[in-house]
Amino acid sequence: MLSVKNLFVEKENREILKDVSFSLHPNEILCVLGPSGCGKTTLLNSILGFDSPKSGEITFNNSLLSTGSINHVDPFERDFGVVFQELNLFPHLSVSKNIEFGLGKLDSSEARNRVKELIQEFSLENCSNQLPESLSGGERQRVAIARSLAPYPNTIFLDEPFSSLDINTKRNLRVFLKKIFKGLNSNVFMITHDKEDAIYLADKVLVLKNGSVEQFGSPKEVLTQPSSQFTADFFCSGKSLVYENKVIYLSPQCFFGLKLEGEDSKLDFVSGTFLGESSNSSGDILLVDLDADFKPYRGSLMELPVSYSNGIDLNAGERVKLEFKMDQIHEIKD
Amino acid sequence: MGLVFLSPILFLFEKSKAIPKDATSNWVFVVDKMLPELSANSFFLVIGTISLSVLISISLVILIRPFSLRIRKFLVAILSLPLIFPIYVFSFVYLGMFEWAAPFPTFFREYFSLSTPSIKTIPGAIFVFSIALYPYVFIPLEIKVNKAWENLFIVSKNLGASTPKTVFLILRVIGIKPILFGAVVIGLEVLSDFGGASILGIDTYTTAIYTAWSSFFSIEIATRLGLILLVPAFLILFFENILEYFFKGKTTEEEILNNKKLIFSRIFYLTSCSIIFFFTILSLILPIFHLIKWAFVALVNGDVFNVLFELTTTSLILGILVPVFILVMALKITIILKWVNLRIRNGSGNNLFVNIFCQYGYGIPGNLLAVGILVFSSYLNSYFTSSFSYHLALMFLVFGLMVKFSRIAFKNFSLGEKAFSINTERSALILNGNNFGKYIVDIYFPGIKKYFIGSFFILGVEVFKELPITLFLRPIGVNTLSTKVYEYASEGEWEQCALFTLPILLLGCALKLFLDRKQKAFA
Repeated sequence: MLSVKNLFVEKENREILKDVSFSLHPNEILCVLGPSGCGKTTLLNSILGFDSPKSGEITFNNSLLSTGSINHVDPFERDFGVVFQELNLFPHLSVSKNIEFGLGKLDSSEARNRVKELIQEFSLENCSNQLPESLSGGERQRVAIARSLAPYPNTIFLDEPFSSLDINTKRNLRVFLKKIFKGLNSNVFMITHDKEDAIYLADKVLVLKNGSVEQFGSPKEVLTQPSSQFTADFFCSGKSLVYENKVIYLSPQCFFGLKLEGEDSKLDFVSGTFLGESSNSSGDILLVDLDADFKPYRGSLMELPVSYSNGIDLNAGERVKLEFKMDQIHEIKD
Repeated sequence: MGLVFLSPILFLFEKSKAIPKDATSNWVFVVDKMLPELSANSFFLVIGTISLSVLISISLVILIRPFSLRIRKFLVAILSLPLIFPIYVFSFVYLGMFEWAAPFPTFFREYFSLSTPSIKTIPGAIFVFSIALYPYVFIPLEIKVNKAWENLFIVSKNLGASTPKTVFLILRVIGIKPILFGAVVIGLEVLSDFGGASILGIDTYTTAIYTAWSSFFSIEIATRLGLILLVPAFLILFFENILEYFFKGKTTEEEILNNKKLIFSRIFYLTSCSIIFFFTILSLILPIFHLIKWAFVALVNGDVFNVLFELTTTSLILGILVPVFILVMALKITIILKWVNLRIRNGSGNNLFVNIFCQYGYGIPGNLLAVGILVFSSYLNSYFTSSFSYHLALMFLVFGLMVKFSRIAFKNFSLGEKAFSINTERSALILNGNNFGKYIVDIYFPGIKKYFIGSFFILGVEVFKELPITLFLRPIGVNTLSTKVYEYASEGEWEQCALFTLPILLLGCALKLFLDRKQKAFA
């Protein structure tokens, strides 16, 4: 079990990580999420031993890796596998030689078999003799992951593994990796800024904000019960509203629906005035000015994706009802 | 190691503190009579050469624009060729070409009653130095301009700018960086030059150092003159650092592919052809023609083949030995620093140490380094027998050349290292369980191999043609091609000079061909 306790990291008199604690149990996949500059890579480098924490303790299977800035185990001897963001394939070595590089401790026939096994597992047969520069982005990513898995690491660390891939390659690779990771006997620690990666792959999610842990739990837990407005905004697809001086979160499971004021409603609802349609990068949205006692947490308008409109033909200024399930409302203690 | 490399300069400071009583009057003479002239000559030579070189480079870059990309590449290759000529070669060639009894001046005198201008003046020296050094501005300027000229020209003209304003804007935006950095290199080269100024009879600090040492027999005066020369040399190096800081992260690096062909007027096209043709004749064809003619005369008239072979062999041995020493030393230091950086400084270190101590020699005039080493050797020489002194002198020569040229190796290694980010190195060590040796052998060395080989060739040619350090420090009775060329040039024997220059130029040509083939890697 990888365990991080009360980790503080400071750089140039600025606190990068503040009191970060979490545990990663055997065979678990942890996704660390957060906006740029929140300390994700510093957390990774601290666990790897490349950044010197001000205080805190990092252990693996109860043996101490580092205490504060003191490394008890050399960063290069922790039996970790790492895939950095830029992949760092060795440009002059072929795919199979890249994968073989970390197998110096095995005898040559064992190493050959391991390389063969990984090349098959990662579907790299067609490019095993090629140099990295001639590979596609997805192939390079697979080679880097295969290379890091080759020496049977106890934990594999991935820093934004999908950041340079197009959406289709990313989705295919995600499906592929889920299968690979589930068959592993290692922990996986993955940094990402995409909540879809976390929802799809992770057993645990750690949300970081300005170097502090906002929430740590299973993806379902974080999705349905965000602990803060930040987590709700960053990770969840629902909406947060202010109701009777409380910030509440309506997760997608609460089912948003929109009806005209005169229509019957079997669910709980709040009334408002439809203002018109707008659009942003994710598609068309309906703008509703909710009545005063039930306001969106940020701004004054409730924005609803068109898909929730159930085909109602609305005119600006019309009174509408916004439906939800009251029993699934989650209060955010921000 | 850093201190060893710095020792020539440290010894210069130590020696310059006091002047023996018998040399005091000489120093007073130098200060009263020579220093003002030396300063003025060096100043005008540096400023004049930089100005003329920049003017030639900008003109050529504009003049080759009407030609197709293929012809342009050929013209750039031809116009870059003067770079393989050491300044002292151009100096004696032009001196020989324009001396009173030479064919050209005779022709102009007899048929047109015109006297050709003297080369042995400051303007003459500026002309010769500029012909030898302008490629330092021309080559990088052409590379930059080539990437963006057409697109910027069209955009600027579409926005209503006049042609002269457009050209000025393009040069100001994309040309300023190569022009300034090229000017810095030219400034350092002119300050460091000894052979060219000496052959042309121009008194500069470098020639004065030689005179103080060989005529006044005063190493103290040479030392003091050297230290004065150190001031402008360090000022230029400081200026280079400011430029690097200023241009860091500036967007002049952007590459814009040319996909538009500009139409030029026939008059501009013909004018360009004529000027480039005339310039090529003056800067390249005539010097090469004279060199070959003189070399042929020397070969026919005298039995010099054995001497030529012997000196070429000596120069080659130095040209192989010194690069090997430099590369082994630079590789060792680089690997040690890499180990320290990865294992102790956790990847956060920089190579300031290498930059300052191991690379400063390139910016320092060769004979200044030589004087520093002579001071050091004078301390040691009294303790050794004469036979050992010979080997000691050889060691000092090799050491001087190492101090001068080690920057080439370090710079090339750092170019090769750009392929390795700190995370590549970390990945390698994490994968192989902290086996640093395996990382160096399997990853690092194959990665910098082509830069290693490139450095070997560049260093070989630089050592082969180097003059002042070799001239000052060579053991008694040992000559190289460059010292022999200087010796003959001092006596006005152009034919012999030309013959002994040819191997230097042939090796330079071979290096240029090699680098052109590897252009992508060394660009």
